[in-house]
Amino acid sequence: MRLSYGFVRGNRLTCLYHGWGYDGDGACVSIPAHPTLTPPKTIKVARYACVEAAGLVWVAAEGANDPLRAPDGRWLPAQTIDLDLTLADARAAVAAAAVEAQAADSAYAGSGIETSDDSPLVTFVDARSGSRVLCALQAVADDRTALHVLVDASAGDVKAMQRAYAEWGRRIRRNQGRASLPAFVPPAGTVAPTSYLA
Amino acid sequence: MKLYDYVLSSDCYKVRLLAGCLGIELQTIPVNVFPGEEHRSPEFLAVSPLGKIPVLSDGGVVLQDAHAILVYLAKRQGDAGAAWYPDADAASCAAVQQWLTFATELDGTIGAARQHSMLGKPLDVDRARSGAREQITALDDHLTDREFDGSAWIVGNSPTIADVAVFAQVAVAGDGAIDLTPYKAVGRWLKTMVSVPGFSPMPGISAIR
Amino acid sequence: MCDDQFTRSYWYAVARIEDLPEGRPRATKLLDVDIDLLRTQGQATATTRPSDGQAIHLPTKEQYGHVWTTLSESPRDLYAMPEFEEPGRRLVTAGAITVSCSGLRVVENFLDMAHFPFVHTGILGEEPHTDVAAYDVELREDVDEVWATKCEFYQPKAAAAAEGGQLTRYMYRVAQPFSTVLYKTCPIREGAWDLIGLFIQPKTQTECDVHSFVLVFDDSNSDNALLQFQQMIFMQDRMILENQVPSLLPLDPRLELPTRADASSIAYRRWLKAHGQTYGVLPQA
Repeated sequence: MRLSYGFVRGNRLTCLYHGWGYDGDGACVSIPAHPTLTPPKTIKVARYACVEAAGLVWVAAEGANDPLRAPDGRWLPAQTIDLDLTLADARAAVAAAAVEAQAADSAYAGSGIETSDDSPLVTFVDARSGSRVLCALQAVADDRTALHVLVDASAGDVKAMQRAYAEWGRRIRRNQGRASLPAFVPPAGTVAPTSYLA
Repeated sequence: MKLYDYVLSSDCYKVRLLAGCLGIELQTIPVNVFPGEEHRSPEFLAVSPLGKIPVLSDGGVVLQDAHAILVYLAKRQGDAGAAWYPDADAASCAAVQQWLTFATELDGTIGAARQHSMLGKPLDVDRARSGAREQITALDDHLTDREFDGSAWIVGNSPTIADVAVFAQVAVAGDGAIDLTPYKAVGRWLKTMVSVPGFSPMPGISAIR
Repeated sequence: MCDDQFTRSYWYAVARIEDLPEGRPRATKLLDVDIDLLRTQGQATATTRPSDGQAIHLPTKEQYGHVWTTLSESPRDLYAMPEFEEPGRRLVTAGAITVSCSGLRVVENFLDMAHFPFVHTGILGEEPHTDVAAYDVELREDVDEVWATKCEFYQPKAAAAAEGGQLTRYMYRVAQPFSTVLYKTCPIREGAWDLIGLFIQPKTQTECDVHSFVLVFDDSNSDNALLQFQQMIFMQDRMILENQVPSLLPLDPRLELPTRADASSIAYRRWLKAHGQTYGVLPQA
């Protein structure tokens, strides 16, 4: 039974099935069927390094030991979009849509799209407002990717940005698998890849 | 008030859920829909010619449709029920109707997937599940927009019978092997519903916290 | 194809008797074999439907409210439940509910009391009454069954007929690898046991139809109230069972750590292992 079906009580992650409680280290600290028993130290669930940054919860992939390199600044969520695409195809679709968002105002000629072949992140600047957009890609399965779209909290009309980029993410979802995706060539100055998965 | 009820029916659950939230005591009369198919029996058709559950009987009033019963319960409670069915405002009232229709349509997708997965009813389950995913995606988009409006609810700023009707279908999607984890706004809304005063679960929904 | 001789040696319930009337054939599956059920001249028949070759007629019997069949030419006797003959008892059969997991997982969940406060909250259990007291477990070699006796658990609403909380006494019986019966103190008749049982029909290693029954003394509840209670409890379990990972039952004790409360499950897994159970079991590494 997955612990995600459970509930958090008193800072303990509690399993829905038998109410076993686990602390932040993944150690089992209570077994309700035996209230007086101190659970043996051997009862432990796997624990992954976890950080909150840039408006997202980040989990280290197994074996990763590089420090997290999340974008600076404060970010607010627009929407999480479920895509029936591989991580690579999702990245290409997001980058292609970012080109469009960048080109919406030809007067704008600021910083470009930042990503790289093994990065779970795509950042770019919204042409109309000049504020930044962060896309974090999470490979949920081989052919499924969750796209977390966030906007810069310091944007002028941040509510409008959230709404606009929620809709932007939905457009990527609607267009997925429609036609062959345009090839994406990362522009110069891509961000350093990280070994973290959003 | 008597409710002709079946424990595994989302439509019956809608009525039990709203009654609990409104503090209405219902006398439930269980109908053996599965495996007995009693809703097709002459005895039940005498109560409900449409042969559907739930049926609500209150004095001389007999209602044979879940959404009609929701409207009736909310209106019957006067001021206490007004927020659950905001019919004083044209736009809100119509929006509630729209989402009640959405809930009815979920019966052909989530409801069909449940019937197949639980009771082996022969039907095209892949089609039912993909239809369900499209509808739940639309709900997720709507609830995301509502959050930008500062509301956690489908219509307005408090729970309505639209939330009740849609919740009773979506919350048990897992019974039909439909995974709700991709739909983050839906997930937040489901959790918020569970904390509404008077909330009661149906089997398949965990209410423990 | 199931080549597990232990599993093949048993009878399996495949339908309720009233769901197989004259002239209404049913298609089903047992141990990966497609089967057609039909009643002709009052007699239930079961026939395999092979993709090639000859259809084989399987033996059938009608007992405990259900039609039973077997893939074995010399099956073990169907286990005895003399309570079915006792006057005054009511039998409610709840129909087959499909569950996507090994049927062995369904049996094991049925034997487990520790989940009551969390899965059947407010009905079969309630915090803070989570303690599972020690109970006895035995392998009854004469009948080749696993029993757990002297089980006790606090229950807020132990049965459809129960008024308020009570300490309920239980006995659990695993009569077949895919069939289990619970004997529970009857809330209205001193000294009597109410029976609740599962006849599990493994269709494949990871999907089963669960036929269940309630056989009780109860003067106050309608058959439909008993049915709804049974279906409510089972659907609460189904949500857990369908989310079990892996869906096959592991027999390696290192994979799922048991505690003292799981004594019945430990005995059940050992019994399966001793009989060389492979169907519905996670292959050993």
